[in-house]
Amino acid sequence: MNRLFQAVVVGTTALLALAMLALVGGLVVELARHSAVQPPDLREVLFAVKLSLGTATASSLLATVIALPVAYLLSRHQFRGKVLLDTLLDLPIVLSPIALGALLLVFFRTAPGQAIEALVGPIVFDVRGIVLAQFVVVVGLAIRLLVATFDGIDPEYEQLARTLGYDRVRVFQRVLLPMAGPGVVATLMLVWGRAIGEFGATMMLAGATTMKTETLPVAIHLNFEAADITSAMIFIAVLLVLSFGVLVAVRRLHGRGL
Amino acid sequence: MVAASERGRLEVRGLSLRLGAFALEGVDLSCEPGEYHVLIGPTGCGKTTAVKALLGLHSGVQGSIQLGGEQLADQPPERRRMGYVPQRQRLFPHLDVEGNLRFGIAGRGGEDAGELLHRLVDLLDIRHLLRRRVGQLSGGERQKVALARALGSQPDLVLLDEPFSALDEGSRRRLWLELRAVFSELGTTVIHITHSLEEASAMGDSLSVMLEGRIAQQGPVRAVLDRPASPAVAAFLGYRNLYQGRALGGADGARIELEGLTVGLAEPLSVRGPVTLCVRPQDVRIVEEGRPLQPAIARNVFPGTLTQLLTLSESCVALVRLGTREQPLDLELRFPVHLQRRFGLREGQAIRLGLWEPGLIVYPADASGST
Repeated sequence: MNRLFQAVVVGTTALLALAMLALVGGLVVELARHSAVQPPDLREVLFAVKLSLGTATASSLLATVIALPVAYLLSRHQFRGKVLLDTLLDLPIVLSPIALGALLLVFFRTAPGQAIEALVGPIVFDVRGIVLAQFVVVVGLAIRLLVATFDGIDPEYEQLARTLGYDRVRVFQRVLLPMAGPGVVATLMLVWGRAIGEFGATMMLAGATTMKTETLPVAIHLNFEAADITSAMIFIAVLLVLSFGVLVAVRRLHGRGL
Repeated sequence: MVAASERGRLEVRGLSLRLGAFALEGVDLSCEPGEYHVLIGPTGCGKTTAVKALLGLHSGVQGSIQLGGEQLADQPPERRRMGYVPQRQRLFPHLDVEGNLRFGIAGRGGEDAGELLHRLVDLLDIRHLLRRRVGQLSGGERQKVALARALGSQPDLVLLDEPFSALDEGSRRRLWLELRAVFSELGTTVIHITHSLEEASAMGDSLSVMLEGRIAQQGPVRAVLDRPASPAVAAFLGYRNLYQGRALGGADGARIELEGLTVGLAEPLSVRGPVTLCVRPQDVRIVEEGRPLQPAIARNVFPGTLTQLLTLSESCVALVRLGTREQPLDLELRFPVHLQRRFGLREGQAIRLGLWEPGLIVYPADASGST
C-alpha cells in the first residue's frame, strides 16, 4: 500500500512536470520550424518588453503599497462587516479579467469615471489604462498574500513594542514591516508576475493597438490574429523567460532554492 | 536607571474584563515601590490576561490602574511606563541582540543610549552576546536579553510572564538568583507571573493567588503560603489534606468531628457547625512509641498505616490511612529524606502520626476566611 501511494504521488508530479516541459518543448520546436520565416520587427519586440516591464512594475508596486494597509486591517482587526469586506476584496481574484476590464470600461463612461479622466488624463485606450487594468486584476492577490504574511507574525511582537514606548505607526514601521519584509517582496514579485501576463482586462480597457498599448500578451494576441505564428512564439518566449525568472527569484527569497 | 521611588507604587482597583466565556472580575492589586510581587495561579486562571490588561493591550478593560499616583487606565500601552517580558520573550528576529536592546532604549528616548546600553549589558552580564542573532541564544540568554530590552525603556514597573517556564532546572535556579540580585539593585517594582510555588517562594516579597479570574488572596509570601485564606487557595497551594467536618465546642477548647476521626483543639473556635479542616503536610509529625510528646501534638495522635511513600530529591511524601476500616481518612505528610532511614519507613508499615495544632486551619462552611 505504501509503495502504491508513493507511486501515485511521484507519478502524478512527474506527469505534471512533463506536461509543462512539453509546452515549452512545443514552443522550441515551433520556433525551430519557422526559423527561416521573417522574425518580428525588433522595435516592436523592444516596445512590448519595455511597456510590459514598465506597466507591470507600476501596477504591482501600486497594488502592493495599497494592499499593505488593507491587509494590516484585515489581519489585525476584528470589526462588523469584515467578512463582507474580505469577500468583496477577493472578487478580483475570482472574477474573469475580461469581466473586470469590461466593468472598468463601463465605469469610465460614467460621470465619476470621466471626472477622474479629466483629472489624471486619458485612461481608456491609453497606457494608464493598462496600469489600471493590471492593478485591478492583481490587487486582490496582493491583499491575500500580505494578509497571509501578517497572519504569520504573532501580534505579541507588536504588543511588546508598544510597551517599549512605540505608537502604532512606529510599530508598523519598525516591527511589522521589517518582519514582513521577505513576504512583502515575495508578494511584489508574484503580483508582478501576474501583472506582466495580464491580458483580458488590458484588452478591454486599453485596447490592442500596435506600438501603443502593445504589452507582451497583447503582442502575442495581435500576432496570432495576423497568423504570424513565429512572431507570436518569440513574444511567448520572452514572456516565458521573464515569468520563469520571477518565480526563481521568489523561491530563492523564501530560501528554498531551485 | 529606575530607582525605588513612589513612581513604582501600583494600585489596581476593580480591574474587570470579559473575553468570551472568560472574565476578570474586580481584580485588586497593590505593590509598594521596589516590591517583587508574584502573581500565582493555575493555568487558565487569567494571570496573563490580567497582566495584558495592566499593560493596556486589551480593550474594554474597566477599573482603576494607578502607577506612581498617575491614573493609567485610559493611557495607551506606550505611555504606561511598564516593561514587559512575555513568556516567549519575543526578541525581534530581524535584529541582533544589540539591535533588540537599542530598540528598547530608543522607545522612550531620554537617557544617553550608549551609556544605558553598557550599564544594562554589564548588569545582566550579556556583553558577550551583543553581536549574536537571537536564534543563537539559549533559553536563559533569551530571558536576560528580553529583560534588558524591557529595562532599556526605563519602566517604573516590570511585568514578567512565566520567565522561567522554558528553562531546565539548573538554569532556572541560577536565573532566580541573578534576577533577584538585578532587581534588588535596581529597586524596580516587579510583577512576576508563575504557577510554580517553589519559584514564588524563592523570588517573591509578596504573593497574589489568582483563581478563576479573581484575586483569592494577597499578602507577604510566607503569610499566604502558611495561612491560605480559603480551601480553594489551600488546594491550589498543594494542601491535599482538606476534610469536611463539624466544629463543636468543648470544656477545654473545641473539637472537629471528621468522618472516622475527631481532632481536638486547645483554643475555642469562633465557628460552629460545618467546617473544612486543612492539615498542611509539613504539620504532620511521625510519633515514636515511648517518646515524650510536645503539648501542641499530644492532643491529636492517631495510629495508621503507611500506604504510599515517594522519595523526592529533597524530601519524602507519604500517604497514611487513619480512621476506622469503615471510615478511612487518608493524610499526606512531608518530611526530610533522612527521617525515612531513621524510622525505617516502608509501605504497609503501622505508624503513629501527630498533628501540630498551631498549624491546623479551620475554614467556616462559607469558605471565605480562616480562624
